[in-house]
Amino acid sequence: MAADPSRVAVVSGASSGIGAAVAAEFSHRGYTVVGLSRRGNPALARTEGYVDLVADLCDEEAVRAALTSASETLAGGVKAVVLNAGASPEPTDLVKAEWRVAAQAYETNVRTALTLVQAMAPLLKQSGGGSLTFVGASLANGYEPKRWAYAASKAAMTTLMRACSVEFADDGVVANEVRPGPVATAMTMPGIDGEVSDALIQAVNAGFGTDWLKSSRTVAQWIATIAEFPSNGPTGQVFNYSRKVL
Amino acid sequence: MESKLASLRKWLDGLHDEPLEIQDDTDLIQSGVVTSLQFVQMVIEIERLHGRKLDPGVITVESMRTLKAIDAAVFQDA
Repeated sequence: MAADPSRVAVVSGASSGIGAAVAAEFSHRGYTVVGLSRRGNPALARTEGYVDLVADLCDEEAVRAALTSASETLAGGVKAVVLNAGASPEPTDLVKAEWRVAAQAYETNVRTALTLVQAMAPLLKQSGGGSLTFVGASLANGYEPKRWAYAASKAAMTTLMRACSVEFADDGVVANEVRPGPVATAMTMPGIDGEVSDALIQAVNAGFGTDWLKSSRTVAQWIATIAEFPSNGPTGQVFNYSRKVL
Repeated sequence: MESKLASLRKWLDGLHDEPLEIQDDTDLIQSGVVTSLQFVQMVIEIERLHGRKLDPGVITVESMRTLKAIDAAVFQDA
């Protein structure tokens, strides 16, 4: 049986970190959630209303096949799509940056987003409109030379988001981007194998006199809220939560 | 066997290219021994050395600010 299309969300990169937290947040808000990732999310897969799809998002065929396997859930369309899948290469001196690494970052961060946009656009239109919410990065501003490869790929995602805001406007689809700033996840902090406790985040922010380190749970609430913007709501916008200029 | 505090000191040293003088009462934050992100990794390293997750009440900026405070709050309290 098809899920209520007004309460169906698709989240990429849902195996861990921000993506997993966004999927959990949508579940908490009563959505049927389709999570896409390379590794899957066994914990969320045990949640009622969560469909765990395993696919390499760089592989258009694999994505298509995975979505086909969830065709019953998606039959009525989709309301919210969160494009979160991505990776960040190791910081490198710009003069030593290898094009291969930059191209890989582009492949992982931009191609995955484009693949999902193309797969989801008809389903968003089918449900009478919805949202595309991109998880971006403040580094996309480009002032961190060692992070250029990652920043360039995220800047490309911003232009993809803006293009989507125009391309799908007549279908009632809004497209926006969230730049969370530093979030305590395995991607930003190698060695983390799960959620960072609120106590630790509070200790960091107290010690360093800032409030910009956040948990993926906190960021997920913002992302879900922006993904629930109405069809005539803000579109083509970047929502920056980084709390400082990067 | 190396003490847990000595292991932690070595781990902190490893964050830097140049050798560091980290005293027991060196303020790890003010002195720049750890960045905010490294602070999180340091707590994870403390948990690894300790052998289990820390109680949330132990994870405060004051109990994690110096090696002496960490030793008292975590390793000596085990």
